[in-house]
Amino acid sequence: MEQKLRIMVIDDENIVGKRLKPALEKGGDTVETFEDGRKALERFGEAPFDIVVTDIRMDGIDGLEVLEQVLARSSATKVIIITGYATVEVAREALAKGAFDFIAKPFKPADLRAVIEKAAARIRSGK
Amino acid sequence: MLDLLKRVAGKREARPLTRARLSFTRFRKLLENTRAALNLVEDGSEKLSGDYIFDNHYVAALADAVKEQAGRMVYDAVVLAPEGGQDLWEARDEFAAAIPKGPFSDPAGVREPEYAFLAEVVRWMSEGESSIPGIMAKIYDHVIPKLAPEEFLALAENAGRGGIALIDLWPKAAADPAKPAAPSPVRSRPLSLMLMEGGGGAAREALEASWLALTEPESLDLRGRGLPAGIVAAATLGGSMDTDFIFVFVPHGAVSADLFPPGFHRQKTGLGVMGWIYDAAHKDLEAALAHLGKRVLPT
Repeated sequence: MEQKLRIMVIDDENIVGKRLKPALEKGGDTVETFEDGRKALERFGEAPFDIVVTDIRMDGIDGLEVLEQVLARSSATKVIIITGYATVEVAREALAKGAFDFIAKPFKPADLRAVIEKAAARIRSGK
Repeated sequence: MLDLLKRVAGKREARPLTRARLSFTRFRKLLENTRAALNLVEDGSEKLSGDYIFDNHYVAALADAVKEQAGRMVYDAVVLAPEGGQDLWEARDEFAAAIPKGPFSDPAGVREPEYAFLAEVVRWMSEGESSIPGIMAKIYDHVIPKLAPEEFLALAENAGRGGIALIDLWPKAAADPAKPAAPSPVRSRPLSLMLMEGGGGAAREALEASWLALTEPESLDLRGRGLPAGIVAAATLGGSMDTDFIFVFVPHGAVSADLFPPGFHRQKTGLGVMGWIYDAAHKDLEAALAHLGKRVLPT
């Protein structure tokens, strides 16, 4: 039986976490959602997550900073970036900094699930 | 310097073939921008289905993109037909001024604020006179009567079928602007499809019109002659779902029967009815062109 994943979702728009949490939990994974990057990083310091899904444009700590701090603390964690319309260039920058993949809003939960499954496969293979 | 001054002082009106090219290209640009605007409207409507995750940024960006696209359409229309263009700009300004500003909340508390905001934006861009279809109606009512096929007739050759004056704008065919290319097979794929079954349907008798066809290999701008408001069928058919588009404008009273093929969207305007199809399988677009040809072109 495959080990369940610990997934963190960070987006300052309430609707994203509210919709993603039940959709991702259907697969049996543990999902915690945050609207504030700083609180999310505090939580990550307490217990690392396998996968972090973060919006890139947020007040306070943005997605790029989340990416850098998460990878500095846990290089095995896969970070998936959520981007809006105008931030594709920034998403490319995020990939260059080590993000696993990115997904553009609007998206369907199934689209994100497919990216998460790719990340999970990479984690299990130890790469 | 003297050469430059001579060129500026000697600025002259473009040659007829150049004017035909400009008219063809700008009308195609208008159609491309129309297609892009319709795509945005459809994109927003699709996201209302409830299957998607989006935020207020998406909704605001969508509304801004639609507003910009409306401006591009009006710009193209005014380049094609400058006189009276002020009315179009005012219509666009009125549309832009009514743009919904979020955040919204659902009075019933059922939907999330983002969905309530998107519902408002979809209503703004798709319903009523001040909407994308409403602006389209004004634009095409403005442009179609001024496309003036007669202006370019001297450049035309016969397409090989009665009633169609053809100007092939493909560079090789029109290399010598003083001497239009010799009669040649129809090299425009959309026109070939229309001619395939051109059979003189009900529309032909009603129209009693001949046609001017401005063509490129993948594009057609077919302008009917002899009607006050004109009839136009335009198509781009390159095999890409991102760009393929068929647009038809039929003035009131021009035809007794509905000539639009299955799957066409329709929108009434002050002067007639416009119909269009895109985002369809290539074979469906080909069938639509054959259907149109059968209905409106001579044998």
